[in-house]
Amino acid sequence: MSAPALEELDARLWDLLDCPWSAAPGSGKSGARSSGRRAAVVPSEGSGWDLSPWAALELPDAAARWLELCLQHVLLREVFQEEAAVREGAGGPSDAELVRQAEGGVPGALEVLVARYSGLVIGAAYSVLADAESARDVAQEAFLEAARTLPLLREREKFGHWVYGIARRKAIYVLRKRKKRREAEADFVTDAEQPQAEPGQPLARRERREHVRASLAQLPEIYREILVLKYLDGRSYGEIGRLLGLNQTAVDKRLTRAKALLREALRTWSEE
Amino acid sequence: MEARDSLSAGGGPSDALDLVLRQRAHLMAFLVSMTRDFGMAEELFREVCALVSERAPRGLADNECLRWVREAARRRALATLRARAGAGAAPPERVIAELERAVAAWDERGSEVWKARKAALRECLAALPISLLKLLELRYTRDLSLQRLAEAAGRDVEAVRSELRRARRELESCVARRPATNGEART
Repeated sequence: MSAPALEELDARLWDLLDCPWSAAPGSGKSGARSSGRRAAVVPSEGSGWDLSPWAALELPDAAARWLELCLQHVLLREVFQEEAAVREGAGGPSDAELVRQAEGGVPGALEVLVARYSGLVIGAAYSVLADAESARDVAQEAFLEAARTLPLLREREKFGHWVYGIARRKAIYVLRKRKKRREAEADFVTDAEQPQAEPGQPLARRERREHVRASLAQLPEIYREILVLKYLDGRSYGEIGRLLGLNQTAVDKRLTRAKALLREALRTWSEE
Repeated sequence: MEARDSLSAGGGPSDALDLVLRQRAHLMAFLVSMTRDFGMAEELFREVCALVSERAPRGLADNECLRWVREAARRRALATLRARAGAGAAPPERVIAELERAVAAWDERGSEVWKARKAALRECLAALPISLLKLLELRYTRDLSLQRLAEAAGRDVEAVRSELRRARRELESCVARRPATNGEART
């Protein structure tokens, strides 16, 4: 296959990544409609993927190439995001300074704090709720509450930890409300279906899922929190240490203990 | 292999989650390749992590566990695409099968492959002309689409597209010259 044909394939594949369908005008539930350059690459909804440019290679090779570019896209984004985070951490004003400015009504100070911690706060809510949309709502409420109660924050340099705690508390509240609603619905359904109800796999599966949730929920707060930070948020030991005010050895010890407790709880259940 | 909704004996969910996080770039690339949307892929990645932490089967070898994860990721991605963008947004089955095969081949080689690639990318970015570096930086730190990138850079869409193409070509040939990633870049 000629080099220009391969280059053209690459160009079209990169177009797919540079013009995601969600960014196209009119995109959304109604369909991946597009316009302009992108229209030549991805046809409108219903006609599927346009694989004609892929004909430059055999399908396995074209798919592998597409995946290759996606990996490069992912890695480039990671590299640039990491560098931006380092620059922000190194060059920007401290949290304590920003909190002081926000309390004094300096425009933009609170926005910088929100930008700095939105990922962490959404992650905290998501780790409890496992639902991106609710997590964003909870994060927004957490920042609003933080803004309202900012003067109550004694250790201004711990703004991140503080707002993280607010988000978790709010997320747990939402989760409890959901659980109560589900239980009420389940009671209603069970009552309504009593004559036809049969023991079976769906119930066992639900029970198992509930048990994992319950096992995690029964762990002492300090162990549950560190498991969520490490395995659901994907935080490094350093980040966890900063958030929880622990050194690396203490993080390591607490995490080991938390994993042992969770394993024990799950093992006990599977043996029953 | 069907994704099982169960916890069987053996390693445990936290080990499976560790494995997924170690291989995260592969899974993210797979999700991006299916959805063509980074935001959606990130959302799905988090959902898959939550699923793994609750339901990952125990007692599986790493490659079997990763196969379970890919299957779960594929099903979630298809369901989300269909719900948000209609059936036409999902790739054809034969394409998905090839994508899964290619990711499985990466997974077999372990996380060193993508880590070496990332390190090489970092070095090669430093060698790029500053104008191309700035354009890529704008593209990836602010996650702008081509149209918005052109608006932010105050330039024509085609010019920006052509510059991006040049930057990526240079990066790719630079990465391919690195000993640790030699021969990995082009399949």
